[in-house]
Amino acid sequence: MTLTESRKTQEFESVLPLINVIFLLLIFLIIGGIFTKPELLDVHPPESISDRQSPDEAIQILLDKEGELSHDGKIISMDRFQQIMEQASVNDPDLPIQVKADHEVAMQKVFEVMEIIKHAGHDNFQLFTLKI
Amino acid sequence: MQIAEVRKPRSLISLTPLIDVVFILLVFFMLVTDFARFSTVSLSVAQDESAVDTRQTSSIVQISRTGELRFDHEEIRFSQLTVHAKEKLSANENHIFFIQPDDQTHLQETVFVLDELVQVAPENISFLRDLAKDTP
Repeated sequence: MTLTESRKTQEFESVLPLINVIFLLLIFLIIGGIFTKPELLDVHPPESISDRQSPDEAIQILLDKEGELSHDGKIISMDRFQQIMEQASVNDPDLPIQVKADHEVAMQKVFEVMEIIKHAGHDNFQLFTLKI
Repeated sequence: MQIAEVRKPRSLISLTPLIDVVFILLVFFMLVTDFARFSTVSLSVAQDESAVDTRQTSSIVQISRTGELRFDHEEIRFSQLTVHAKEKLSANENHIFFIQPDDQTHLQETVFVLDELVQVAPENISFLRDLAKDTP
């Protein structure tokens, strides 16, 4: 009887370090990580030394390396993008436009996006980057 | 002595459900968290060459599709970019730099050049698109 209890206690004590490590990992992930929403397009932003923080409120556009655009969880055409920009400039012309573009996208596509933003009357255009 | 041992708490709270829940939480957080730190770069919207104000001194930094640089049509290495830019700024602190990437240049190459120029002239940088150019 005494031996059985002792084995149970030993089993319990052997699990304690495991629980401690898992709790520490959990706390590390909760505190150190940032929650990210899964995105429709596979976009890896370019690396940059810039440490300028992105504003909380902005219109976010995704641009993948093939030049495909996405906004608000939907794939959009250039024409639709133009409509969105024009609508945004009517609603709030000062709202920043953030483009999260893939690092391998051709500059031609970036220029096309920039020109649409410019024609819609927005000056506040920001490019998402990964801090080196 | 024996009686005292028998009266010890016999069973502890079962840890198996706790470990299950904690493991599920761990997997969840590992999947949804991201440690990448994003920042932003402000860009002044691209202009065409007709918009260049010829009254102001300016330089054009061209980036070929393979990442080679030309500073005012002269081929330079990437490491020489800030040296050339500083030379121009020492002559005129309002000197403007136009970054003109090839249409097929990758965005990353352009951002590297932008980063170099931002260090020496953060306010005097603009993008230039050469619509007529069609390099091989």
